[in-house]
Order: sequence, then C-alpha cells, then structure tokens
Amino acid sequence: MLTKLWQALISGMAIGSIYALIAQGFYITSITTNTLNFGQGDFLMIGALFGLTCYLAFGGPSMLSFVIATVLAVGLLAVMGAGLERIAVRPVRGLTSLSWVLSTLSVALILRNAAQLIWRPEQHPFPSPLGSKVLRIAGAGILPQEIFILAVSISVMILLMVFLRRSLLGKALLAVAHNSNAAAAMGINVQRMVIFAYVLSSVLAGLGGVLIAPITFAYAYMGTVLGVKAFAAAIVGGLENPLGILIGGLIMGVVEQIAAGINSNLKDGITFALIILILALRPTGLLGKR
Amino acid sequence: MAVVGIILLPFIFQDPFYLLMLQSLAYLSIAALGLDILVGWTGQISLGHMAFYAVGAYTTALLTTRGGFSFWITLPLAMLLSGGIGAIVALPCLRTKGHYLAVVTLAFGFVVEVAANRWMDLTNGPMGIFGINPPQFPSGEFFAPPHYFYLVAFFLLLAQLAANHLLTGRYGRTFLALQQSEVAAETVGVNVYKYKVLAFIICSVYGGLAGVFFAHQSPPGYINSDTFVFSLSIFFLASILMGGSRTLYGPLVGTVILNTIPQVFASLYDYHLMIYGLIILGTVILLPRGIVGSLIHLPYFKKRRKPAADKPGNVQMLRFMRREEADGQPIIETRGLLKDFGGLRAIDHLSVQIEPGKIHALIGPNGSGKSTLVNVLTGVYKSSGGDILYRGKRLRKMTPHEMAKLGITRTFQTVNLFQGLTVLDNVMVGFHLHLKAGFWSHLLRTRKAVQEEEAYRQRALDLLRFLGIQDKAYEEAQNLSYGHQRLVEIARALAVEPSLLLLDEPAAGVNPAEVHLLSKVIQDIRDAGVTVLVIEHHMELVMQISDRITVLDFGSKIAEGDPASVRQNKKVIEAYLGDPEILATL
Repeated sequence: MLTKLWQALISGMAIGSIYALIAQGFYITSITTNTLNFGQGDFLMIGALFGLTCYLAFGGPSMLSFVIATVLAVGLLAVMGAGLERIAVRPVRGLTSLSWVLSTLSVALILRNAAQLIWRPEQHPFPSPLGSKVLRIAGAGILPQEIFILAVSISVMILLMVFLRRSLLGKALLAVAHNSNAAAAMGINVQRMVIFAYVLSSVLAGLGGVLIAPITFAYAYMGTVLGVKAFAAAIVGGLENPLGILIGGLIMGVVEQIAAGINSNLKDGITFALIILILALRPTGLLGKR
Repeated sequence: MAVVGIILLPFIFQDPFYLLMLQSLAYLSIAALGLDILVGWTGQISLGHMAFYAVGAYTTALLTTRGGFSFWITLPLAMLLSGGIGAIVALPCLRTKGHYLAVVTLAFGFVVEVAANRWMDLTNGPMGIFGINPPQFPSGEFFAPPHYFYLVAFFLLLAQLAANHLLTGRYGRTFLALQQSEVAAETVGVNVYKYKVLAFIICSVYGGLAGVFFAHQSPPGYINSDTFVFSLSIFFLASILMGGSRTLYGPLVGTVILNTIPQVFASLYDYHLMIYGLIILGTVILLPRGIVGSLIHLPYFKKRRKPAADKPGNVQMLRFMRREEADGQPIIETRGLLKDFGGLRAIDHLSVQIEPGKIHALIGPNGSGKSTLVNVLTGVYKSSGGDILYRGKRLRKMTPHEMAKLGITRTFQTVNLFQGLTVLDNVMVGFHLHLKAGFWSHLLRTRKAVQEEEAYRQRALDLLRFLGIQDKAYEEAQNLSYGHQRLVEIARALAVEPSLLLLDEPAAGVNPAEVHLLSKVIQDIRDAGVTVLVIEHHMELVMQISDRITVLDFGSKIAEGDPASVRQNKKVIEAYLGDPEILATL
C-alpha cells in the first residue's frame, strides 16, 4: 500500500512537473497579454514528434542525440510560438474575450491534422536516453526517465523564476505584464516582449514534449488532454504565481495517479471533479491572491 | 415568411440524409442560441456546453428506453434536469470573477465526457444506447423524419422567439449592462449575481432541449459517448462566433454555416480538422463580429433603423421623485466609521450626519478619504469598523444593489456608463428596480411588458430632457462628450428615484459652461426632495450650491458647517495650504 502510494507520488510528480512546465507558458503569456495558447498541448505534441524524428535521425537512443533532438525541437517550437503570436493572437487582441481561445484552438486543430498526416495516428515509442531498466527505490518501480523529467523540469522552472525576477529581460517582461503603457514609456518594446512571451511559452511546451514522450509515447493526439489538464493545474495552483503553478501541476499529477489507483477507468473524471472541488473552496487557486 | 420556408424545406430536400441534416441544424441552433445568451450577452465563458447537451440526450434516452416513458414527458423533464444542473454549477461559481467559470465548465465538461465514456452501467459508453424511438402521435404512430423535422423546427421557432423577446427587452439590456460594468449595474439596483445565474440556467435548458432532439433522431435511434467530447463545446462556441455573437440570429446562421461547409469538403476527410481549423481561424480574424454582426454594422442596414417617437410628458419631470418625510432624523449617519486597506487607514473614526433634503458637500485634499467614503456608503467597499445608519437603522454590510433598493445610489469619479449601450438604454437600466414585468412576462412578451417598456422609455426621455440631452438619446454612450456622459450618468442615477444621491466629483473633467448647468441640475434635484451628497474639488461649485460642508483630511473630519464658516476655518485653510488655486477661491 505504501509502496503504491510512493509509486504514485514519484510517477505523479513526474507527469505533474510536465503539466507545470506547460502551464508556466500559460502564466507568461497570460500576464503579459491576458491571453494564452489553448493549443499548448498540441505544441507539446509537435515537440514530441519532431523531437522523435530528430532523435532517430541522429542515431538515438543516446544522451547526445537526445540533446540535439531537444535543441532542434525547441528551436522549431520557438519559431512556431512567434508564428502563433503573429497569426492567432495579435490580430484578435482587444476583441471579445473568446476570440483568442478559438483562434489558438483552431491553430491547434491544424497542427493536429498536420501531425496526423506526417506521422500517422499511431503511437510511436520514444526510447529513453537513460534506458528502460526499472529502478527500485524503496520498493517502488521507477523509470530513470521519470527522475530525469522531474529534475529537468524543476530546474527549468526555477531558472525561469530566477530569470523573470533577476534578469533585465525578465523584468521587462513582467513590466509589460503589469502595465504595458508604462513599460512602453520606459522604452520597452512591448510588441517584442509579447512575441518573446509566446516564444518562451512554446519553448517550454516543446521541452515538455521531448521529456514526456518516452513515458507516454509520441502520437498525434497526445496533446489535447494534456493541454487541458495543464490549464486546469494552472488555475488550481493560481494563475498569477509561477510557484503556485509548479505546485498545482505536481499536485494534479499525483492526484491523477492516486485516482488511477482507485479506479483507472474513471481517473480523469475523479481528477476533474477534484478540480471543481478545489476551485469551489479556493476560487483564486491554492496560492492565488484572495 | 420563415415559417413558409420551414414548411417547404422537407419537400425540397426529400432525401433522408438531407432531412437528418435539417433536423441537426435545427436542434444544434437551439444549443448555440442558449450558449450565446450566456457568452455573448452576459459575457460569461462556458467551455463545457456539451455537458448539458449530453444531459438532455442521456436523460431522454434512458427514460424512454429503460423507463418506458413517453417522449412528451421526458422532454420537459430533461429540460428541467439540465436547468437544475446548470443552477448547481452556476450558483457557487458565479460569485467570483475571472477565469473561474471557464475552468469549472471545462472541468465539468470533462467529468461528463468521462462519465459518458466510462460509466458503463449508466450510459453503456461507446457501445451506446439503442432503440430510442421517435416521438409518437396520440394515435400511436411514430413521427416520420419529415414530421420530426417540423417538430424540431417548431421548437427552434419557439426558442428563437423566446430569446428574441428576452434579449430585445429588459433582460437583454440588463445582461449587456452587467457585461459592460458590473459595478455600475449593481449601484442602480441590478442583482448582478442573480442575472448571471439566470443566464446560465437558460443556457443549460436550451442545451438540454437540443440534446433531447439529438437523441430521438430516427434513424438511427441510437446515441453513444463518441459525440460527447470537449470539441463539441468548442464547436458550439465557434458557431456563435462565426454567425455573430450578441446578435439575435447569429447563432442560427453560424450553426448552419459551420455544419454545411464541412459537407462540401466531405471527400477530404483526412484534412477535415485542418479545414475546420482554418475556417474558424479565418472567421475569428477576418470577421470578428461574425456574419450577422458584420451585416448589422453595414451602413445600409444602419440607416434603416429609425428611433421610436418621442411624446414629451409633463416637463416638471421630477414630479415622480420621492419626497422626504421630514422626521428630524439624519438620512444617513456614520458613527466611528473605519476603513483600512492593509496597513493604510483611509477612514479614521469618522462620524458624519447628512440631513435630508439638503445638499451636503464633502471636500478635502487628495487622499483624504472622500471617494472611499462614497464607496463604503454605497456598498462597493465593506467597512472595517464602525456603524452606518440609514434613517436611524443600523445597516449591516450590504451590496450596492441592496443599497440601491434602500434608495441610495451614486455617480462615479470617472464616468462609469454602459459604454456600448445607447444613452436611452443606460437610463432604462436605472429604472431596474421599478420595472414590474418579470421574466415570464418578457419571455412571452405580454402586453404588460410591452406597455411598461414603452412607458418607461418615455420617462427616460423626459429625464434626459430635464438634463437637456434628449437629442442624444439614441447615440451610443461612448460617443458622447465627457460632460454629456456625466449628465447621462446623473440621469441614470435619478432613474433609480433615490432618496440619497452621492455624486463623486461630478465637475471633474467638465468645462465651465457645463459646470454652470451642473450647479442648476444639482439644485433642482435637491428641490425635488432628493438628498445630495457631493464630493468635489471644484470650490466655486461647492460654495455655490452647498447647504452644509464637511471637510476631511487623512480620513477624519477637521471642520463642518455652512459655506461661510468653512471658508474661514483655519484648519481648512491649513489643510489646503500649498494649493494656492483653492485658496484663491475661498
């Protein structure tokens, strides 16, 4: 029983850290533009599939090819992020609150269809660079990839938080978030910051994709529910707070694994029902402002 | 004309496939219609509309196949259940703002999706429920497809008419108003929360109704969980946006288009998501108002809308203002009032009495707590301590709309009109507490509702005439000059028929000629029996119109009295020291 719980904790935190990673992207774009990429999950999917293609092309599985694949995937996603901002976000800024939801979602649909055509709908195995030998830690079976995911995503998120607070570029981003007019008056190119926000957000999604693919396989439909869960995790944690998002994501991942243990059939239902409950008690999220 | 068209349709499209399509178009439009009432008119986002569609479908499917109930019973039952579940979702959620409702509806949609897919005992998941018969005539004969189409179309007609009635009258106006400014709506007596919940319930009932018709389509007489997925919720949203949100016929048009276009590309199945995505993206970017929305704004259509007639009533307009019963008590009084913002004490043990039927001014340097006091008095902020008494009775913490019911309303420091509404509609919202015709009267557009709207429309024009701006009645509020917007805001406040009117810096941003008009207006309001509390910096105006002045500094009272005594008060002069412009007018 305890080992099962322990297992759920580690696996849950691993997937949860990916939710958090994706959701950090939501945070960055939502504070700067009050919009977010509802197709973030599908961006992750492209990262996973494209990453897989590069990975295999460079002779994977090996750490070197994984790193190269990651760099290339992240690069592609950066370009896609800028493209998304230009096509689906900028033209609809200032219109009804629904427009950007639908525009980013429709881009996601297009991506999904493209992915289906290019990579076919099957699930593609993504061999972990760390091998598939299960580690036994305190009785629980843990894949090295899961630990890898946890380590990388948490490090990236900490780096992100430091970057936003300490670096000049990060502060400029936050400045735009708080008051874009004042930021512009101080000489910050707001438009460029907005593009940067979307680039950063997409990069995070792409990174999440190559990290999680060895666990979940890479396939055209992997993004849909992931994106929604990440969004929910962000709200549960508190959308204005990167730390809250991190915690929200981890909690969500763990809850999901525990729910799977209770009834693997209804696990998603349990998770979402819990989200509703948490929001009923704390509408601004666990770490959000009251 | 539409009815004739509907009757002819099954004869034109006799092929069973087309009949099925027509039926789908009809009930999907019902769902979209309901969703737009929530999303377009009240501005709340639902990402889980599919859930109510599913509730409607499964309720009728289960009750007819397993319970043996007749369609004619399950139809109203399903609508009731959808509405009930809508209420359960809405009641806790709509108390807060922000992304909250969006996420809860999203999560709720997924809960329903999972339940449909995995709760085999109830829904039989992907294997679905078979043998759902079409409705039966009293003779026992089943509805054939053309009859079924007429049935669905009939209900669509009813649903559209009901929506039209609601949206073109009081309820549409109130929904739009609360979307534009919840605070302003509250201060004129609108219970914003109640209206949001109402909109959500209407939305869920329409969704459930659509689901019922979906389930009983025959062929196939079969539903399964494959239909009830997140994308369906998005599909409904896309239909609304494509047709034109916040229009009467947009949802219908959008549904028809979004459903028929893919048929054209049916052979390109492999690309269907991409095509779908491109259509939605294209519409959102190129046609943000949707098809109907864009058409309405074309000059050709704009010219054809004529404003209704104006029959001036008795020009002594304030005849319907309440007259104060002089009972010697202050109309409003604070005792030891406190308001803290974190560590900052904005109001510091303030005790003030406002005499009825007088103009009482509140002055003081910036940051002295004047606007905060107004916000506390009208329920926008909750006090941190002390008492507020209204006609001698202690007020417990109240919301702005409860304050409005008591007869207290206000204008705002920066004009807070319903910018997208016409000037006339702005004032009409002010009459909210006086309108007697309720939901069902408006839904059915009874004579009572129509006559009441007409009567109050005329009253609104009279109010505007009193303020000299009746010629602007049909302009959109945001197009008026700032000074005129101020006057509209005052008209709206007067529409409440308050006993106490708080004016927060009415002269701010207004030119000298308009200040002169303002001074006259405020005095006329006082003469009609309304007590006025004015916050102002404009010393000339204050000295000219006030019966009594209270001076604040750092949240507490430093002087009080008639204009003559206040202008000579040493403490007042000191507080304003360093402000030579003010001193010069004293």
